[in-house]
Amino acid sequence: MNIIEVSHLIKEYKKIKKESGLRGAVKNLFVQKSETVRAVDDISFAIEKGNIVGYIGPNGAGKSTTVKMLSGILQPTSGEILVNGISPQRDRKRVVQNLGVVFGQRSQLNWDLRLGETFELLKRIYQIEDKTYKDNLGMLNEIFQIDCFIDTPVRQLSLGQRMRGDLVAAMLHSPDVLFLDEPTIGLDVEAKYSVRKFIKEINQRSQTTIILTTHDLGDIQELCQRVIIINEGKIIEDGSLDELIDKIAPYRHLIIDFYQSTTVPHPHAELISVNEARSVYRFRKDQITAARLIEDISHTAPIKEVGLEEAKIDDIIRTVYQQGNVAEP
Amino acid sequence: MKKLRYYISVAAMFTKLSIQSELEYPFMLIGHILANSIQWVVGFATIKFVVDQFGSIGGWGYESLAFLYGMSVLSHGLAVVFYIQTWYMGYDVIEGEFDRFLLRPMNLVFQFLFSDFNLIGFTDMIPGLIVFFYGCAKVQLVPSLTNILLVICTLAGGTMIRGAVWMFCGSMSFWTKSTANFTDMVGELFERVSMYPITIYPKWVQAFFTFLLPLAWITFWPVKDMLELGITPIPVPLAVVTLIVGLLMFVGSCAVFKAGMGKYESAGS
Amino acid sequence: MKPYIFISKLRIQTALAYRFNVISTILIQCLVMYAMSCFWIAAYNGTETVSGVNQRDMITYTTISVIMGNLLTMGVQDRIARSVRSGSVALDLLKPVSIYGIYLAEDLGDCAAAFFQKAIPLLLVGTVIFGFPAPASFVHFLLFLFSFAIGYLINWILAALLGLCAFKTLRLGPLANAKGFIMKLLSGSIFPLWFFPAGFRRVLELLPFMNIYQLPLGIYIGQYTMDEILLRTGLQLFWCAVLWLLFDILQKKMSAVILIQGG
Repeated sequence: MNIIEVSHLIKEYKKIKKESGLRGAVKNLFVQKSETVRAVDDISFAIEKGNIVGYIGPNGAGKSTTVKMLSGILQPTSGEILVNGISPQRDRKRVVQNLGVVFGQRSQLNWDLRLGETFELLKRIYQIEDKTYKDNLGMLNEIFQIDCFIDTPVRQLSLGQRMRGDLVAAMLHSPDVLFLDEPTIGLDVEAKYSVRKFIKEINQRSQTTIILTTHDLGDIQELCQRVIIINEGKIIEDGSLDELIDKIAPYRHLIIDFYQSTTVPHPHAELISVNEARSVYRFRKDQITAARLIEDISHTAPIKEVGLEEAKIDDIIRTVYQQGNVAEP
Repeated sequence: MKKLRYYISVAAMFTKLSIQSELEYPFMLIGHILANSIQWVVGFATIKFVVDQFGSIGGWGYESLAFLYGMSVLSHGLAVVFYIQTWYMGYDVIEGEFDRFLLRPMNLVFQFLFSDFNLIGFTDMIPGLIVFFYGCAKVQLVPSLTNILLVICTLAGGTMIRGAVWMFCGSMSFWTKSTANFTDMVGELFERVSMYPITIYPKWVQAFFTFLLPLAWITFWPVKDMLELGITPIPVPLAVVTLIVGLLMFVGSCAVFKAGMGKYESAGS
Repeated sequence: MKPYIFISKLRIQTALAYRFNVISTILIQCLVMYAMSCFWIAAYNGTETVSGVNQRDMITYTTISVIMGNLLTMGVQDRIARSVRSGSVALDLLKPVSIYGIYLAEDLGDCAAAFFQKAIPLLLVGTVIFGFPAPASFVHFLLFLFSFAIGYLINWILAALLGLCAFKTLRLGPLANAKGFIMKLLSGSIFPLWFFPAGFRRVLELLPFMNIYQLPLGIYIGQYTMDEILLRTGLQLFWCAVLWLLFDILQKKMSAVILIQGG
């Protein structure tokens, strides 16, 4: 079942063109030219219930704009969005009743109050029954361990604690869909690790559908079954991470240390460097397995040490971004 | 009915939390009490000094002016209590602060109006009450039930008119996308029209502030009516008209705010 | 000097960018100016002179006062408070130019922009409605300009001093309120001090605030004799020097505190 459906979504902005210099400034006082910019350019996709989907792209690609349209903050210029079968533009209140949103860069917690007080407010706003509230808070506490700082004023929380607080705040009314906009931004390694663990747990426990925008590819690797890559407002890739790797970077590298300097070619692998006793082979996964390759080579020369290098996810994503740029100069 | 109860319970919570967060900075509050008390009392004193030199202004002696002034400060204070968030709308628009309201399943205007209950506004009320009661004594206003009701109508209407004007100005930011803040300037205008009798202006200005931009209703007409009992061109007390004008302005400002939210573009890309 | 001039120029450009802002400001300010002039006409109500000033002079006083108010807007206090709160103050202090010099350049840029955008239109409107607000004489006008310039500096230093309070309190809240109220009521911007009772007036004349509005305006309409102008301008310069000294000492002290704590 598709819980989110987006078809032909377009968002245009008017940008006022200003002339530079003092003379330009005076001129702008009387005439202003504007140009239209497409932040999101004809995007369509559908997301199944219970999935975690990574929505990634370089800065200014249109990620946040899409998320804001999905959650009803922004009005699309054209196109259709359905969340749980309801359009957030036509029936905002009903959509957000079933939606949790966390913006990593901005907290929804009240700075001057204790964390628990913000939760009390949300309980009223979302009309959560006493029992459900208690159960949810109990479950979320199990996951996030917020008990130890629930009575601390938010301004005194660490960034990691605050993010946990924000996640709980977004989950209190047990929404079916959760949008996370850069949830690990600025967190240290430890906090990042725990936030990822929590996200996974929420997804498994309550079958929450999660859309995650991020610049941290570790998040993607750890969490997402599916990745949608967007650049300059257009979707350029959509699929599982493995598929993406196969498509973009089907090569792996095999590093072999022999006992002495030697050169051993192989028909299904390209020998890309020979440095004394060390040779590096590049091969395609679909043509030959690493085990077979090692076996073949070891017939010719004795092997001391082997190492296998997967394509790096950062490099893959960079390749994708660059392709996008080439496609549309 | 259930819906009303729901909204009231959220409004109560909003109010409670706003007050609590303000009490986190007690020195701010004390500072405001001092600053505002001195400001309005001295403010009235300067008017009195000037009027003493001239005898009267537009046919009003300083006794009536004190009553007018007190009434004006009171509705100003109330407007600050309920509408202070309108002062920062430009900032809210540019920084995307309205995102939060849009993400919650409640009426937007309601959230905007009730999310920030400002205790500091009450610090204006203290000097306001002092000057007001001083004025009441000077003009010998009888504390009859009618008079109390008239005062309440005036304050409620005046507060809504002030708040609506602030909200109109703040909502402009939805279209201009600038943080320009007109609060100070509009405040000056309010003072000129609500603390002095508008009879000092030419007829067309009086008409302008009565019918087009109805600031004369904040204090002037209802107070004039209360002081010169019985001489009204219409059969209802003018304080009631103030209340009606206030309600109309309120509805209008909500509509403009809503239209503005349609233009809202959040922050960043 | 160059970086400061560049900054002033930039500010003029930014100010020009906000068309809507400019137009609404002019409209509201015109109304305020008009309202105040009506107040004086109603107050005089045919009387020749009150406290030695006639109605014509009071309207001139009001018109020029509103114009001055638009030139005397100070960004410095909020700028300092903001940079203290965001913590960027430590970085600012490390820049190779004086940060306060930059703030002054910004405010002067705003002032220059306001002169063209607000002062001239307001002067035109005032002239059309109530006649040209002429100075007492050309000499008075020159003396007014000088006095206004010193008044500008005093106002700027007071705003900067208030901004420095943010180093201690982080937020300016009530302090900024109090300053606004003093500027409005005790500096002569609305009611000239000569309408106040003698005792109250004497207290206010001992404070620096009347040097910002009342003194230049009094000179402009010829309320003061030459001897008085000389004496009062001397006092004004004295205040300017004292406040500047105070500001310089405090500013160095605050910088030292910040740089030791590391922001």
